[in-house]
Amino acid sequence: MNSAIVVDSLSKSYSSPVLKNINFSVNTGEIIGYIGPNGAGKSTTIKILTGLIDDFEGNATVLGIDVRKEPLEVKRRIGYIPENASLYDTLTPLEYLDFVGHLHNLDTQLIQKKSKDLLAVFGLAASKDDRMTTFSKGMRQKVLLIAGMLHNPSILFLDEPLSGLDANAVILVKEILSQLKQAGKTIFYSSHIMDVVEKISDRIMIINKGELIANGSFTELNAQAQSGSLEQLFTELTGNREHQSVAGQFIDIMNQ
Amino acid sequence: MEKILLFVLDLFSGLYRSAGIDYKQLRSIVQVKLKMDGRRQTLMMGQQSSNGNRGYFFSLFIYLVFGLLVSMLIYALPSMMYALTFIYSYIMVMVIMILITDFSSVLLDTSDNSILLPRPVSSRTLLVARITHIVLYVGLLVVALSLGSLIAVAIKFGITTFIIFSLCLLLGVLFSVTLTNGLYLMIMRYTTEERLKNTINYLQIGMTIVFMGGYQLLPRMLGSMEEVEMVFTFHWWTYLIPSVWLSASVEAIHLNLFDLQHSMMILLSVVIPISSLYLVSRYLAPAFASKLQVMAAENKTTPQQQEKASQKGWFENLTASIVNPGAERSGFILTQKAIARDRKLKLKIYPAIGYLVVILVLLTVRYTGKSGDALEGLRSSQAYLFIIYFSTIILHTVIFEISFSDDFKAGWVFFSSPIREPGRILTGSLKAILTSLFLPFYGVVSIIIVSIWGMSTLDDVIFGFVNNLVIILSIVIINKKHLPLSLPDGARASASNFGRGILMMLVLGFFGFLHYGTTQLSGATWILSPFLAILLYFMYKSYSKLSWEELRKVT
Repeated sequence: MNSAIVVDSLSKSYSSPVLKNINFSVNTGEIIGYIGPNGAGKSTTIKILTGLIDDFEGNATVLGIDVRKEPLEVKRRIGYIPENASLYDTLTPLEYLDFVGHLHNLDTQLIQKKSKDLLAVFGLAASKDDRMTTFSKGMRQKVLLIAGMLHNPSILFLDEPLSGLDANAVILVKEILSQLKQAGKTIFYSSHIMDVVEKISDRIMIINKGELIANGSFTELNAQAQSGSLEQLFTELTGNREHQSVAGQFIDIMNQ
Repeated sequence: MEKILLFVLDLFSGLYRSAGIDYKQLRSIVQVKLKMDGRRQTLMMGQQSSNGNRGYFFSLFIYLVFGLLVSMLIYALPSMMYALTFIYSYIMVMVIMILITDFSSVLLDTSDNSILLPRPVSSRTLLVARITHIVLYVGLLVVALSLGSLIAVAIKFGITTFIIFSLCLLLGVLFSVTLTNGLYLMIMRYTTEERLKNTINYLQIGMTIVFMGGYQLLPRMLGSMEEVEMVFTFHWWTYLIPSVWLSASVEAIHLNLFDLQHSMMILLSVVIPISSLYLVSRYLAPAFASKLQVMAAENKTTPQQQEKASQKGWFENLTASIVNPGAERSGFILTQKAIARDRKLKLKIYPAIGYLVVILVLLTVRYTGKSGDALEGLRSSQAYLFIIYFSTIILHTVIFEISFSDDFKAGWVFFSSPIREPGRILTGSLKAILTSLFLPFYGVVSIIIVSIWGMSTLDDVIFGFVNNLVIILSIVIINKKHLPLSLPDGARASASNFGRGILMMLVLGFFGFLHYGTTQLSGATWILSPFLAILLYFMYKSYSKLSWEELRKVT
């Protein structure tokens, strides 16, 4: 048994239930694409697995560690790149990475060297000492990606990690992810961009209204539904078949 | 400064470690927070400090200078009670104001949660790091505010009294911080986050006005201090003023005087701050934490509060009648809503107006001399002309400020729309400024003028209004033109223009004197008015015909 993540009858509710009895496990070295419509419970799942939420029902372990009992141990070993993440943007990228590195108790010199090199790889060498207030969305996203991986985590949790990146950077990040997988890292990838998910994921999980409604490789899922693309499959499974009539309505109103 | 504070912090590293805190993590969190404090634009420094790290520390320096000025009271006032009461009041009020205005962004910042919580930092370390940061921030502030007074007290009253004074100062600061927190927690408990931000916004505006007015008033107040009574007398209401408790406590020990009144005061000084701290942390703080969680969970769908429908109806009808449909209406609505809602804009406009009021009052009073019968002196003067023409400065400020916005990028929508004459947007914007700010202000000014100087000034008020419009139109026509909310704050320096500021004063002066001339000839205002109205019409026409080419020339 070589499971990086095990989720066992996981439920969570705020005022209404957000997650309803979710079960899955992820093997070491897998890339999981975790997709679902807005409000389906994707971010909540990730927040539970990264130790940010501790009042939930059921059990969840990451790298064999119980996230409820030892969230700090989990946080030490994983990298988390949150969706629309905030940065301390009055800092420079180097200062921010230095700060984050110290929170992981990394060696100062190592942080300096790694951050400089990683920023250079992402083409940010020239802006490493500029305050991030002026940064574009893509530049911030690059800093966030570096900040999430600086401590060489064994599992990466990515929530919409490509937002704001230009085409070249997207290709670069995709390549980085697949090489990370070669190196034995586990990647839990949540996104709305279906064709990226379709291409990079070993296995796809679809969540809708707090329930896991599909779990398997793209070919497996496709064999069940015969829909051609993940996008069509997604539409079919999440039960939203009214796109055509809604679009028609839109055009009608526009023409008024 | 940051290094010194961290050095001090390092001295306590053993203490932190023995309490089970990861000191390295705590140190880097505190370091980053201090660094960001230094870079945050403080209210006092406003926009000027957008580059350079001096903002926060420069404001500390200003507090230090103010504190030195205030500490002179210890020598200026014969009564120890009065002097200390003033000083304690000053420090406590300042601490509360600064905490509310400058520190609120730190207290309410939720980015902390999304940045720090995913990292392997224990909640204990995080909490202690936050408290350490707040203590350092407030400590630095209090030192800056009170250094002068501490020295003055030590020199004048001796070392024992100095120690008691410092202890009472600590109690006072503790009480102020608790009070501020309590205020926050109360507001948070009963209203929405949006309302809280609005409340803070108004407090900030109030504080800016108080501060700017303070520069003018404090020296004057010090000058007239001699008239204050020599001996402090206790009334029932003095028991309600915290700074009186503290200074009575200091006096009691200094004079070795422990009668009923002084003992009561000592009791109050100790019991109230500590029990209020207990109450706030026991009853209000837990509710705050859960409220924050709820806010975080539902923050995606906070609806903008709707105005009352009836209010909206008649106002929209009214405004629809003064603006032309199309681009002018768009410019009007955008400017109107920005004035009503954009907190940053409000923070620039309203203090300017408030400051102008302070200056007007001061200058008018000075104009009429120091005689006992100020109102009589005022009536015999023509200070109202001065008031009428200074009102233009408000318009000038607002028209300048309306060009800037944090969302300046959204201005693309003007450029992508098929607008032939962008001047229409500008006239719409100008009309919004006139209706939502200038008319109400001028209305109040007119009422004041007419009630002081009598109905005979009514024609001056009306003539002055037309002149104000002519002045402002000539200024906007001469000045660089920018679409509303279309420039970043960084463009401020290049957008302002000293030479044109002088020109504006000249235009202002010209019309002021013209008006003064008319008061010497009866009926002159009535003869001049039609000419001015025609001038106004043509200026308005030319402004509204402004083309893209002319607009581009300047950007």
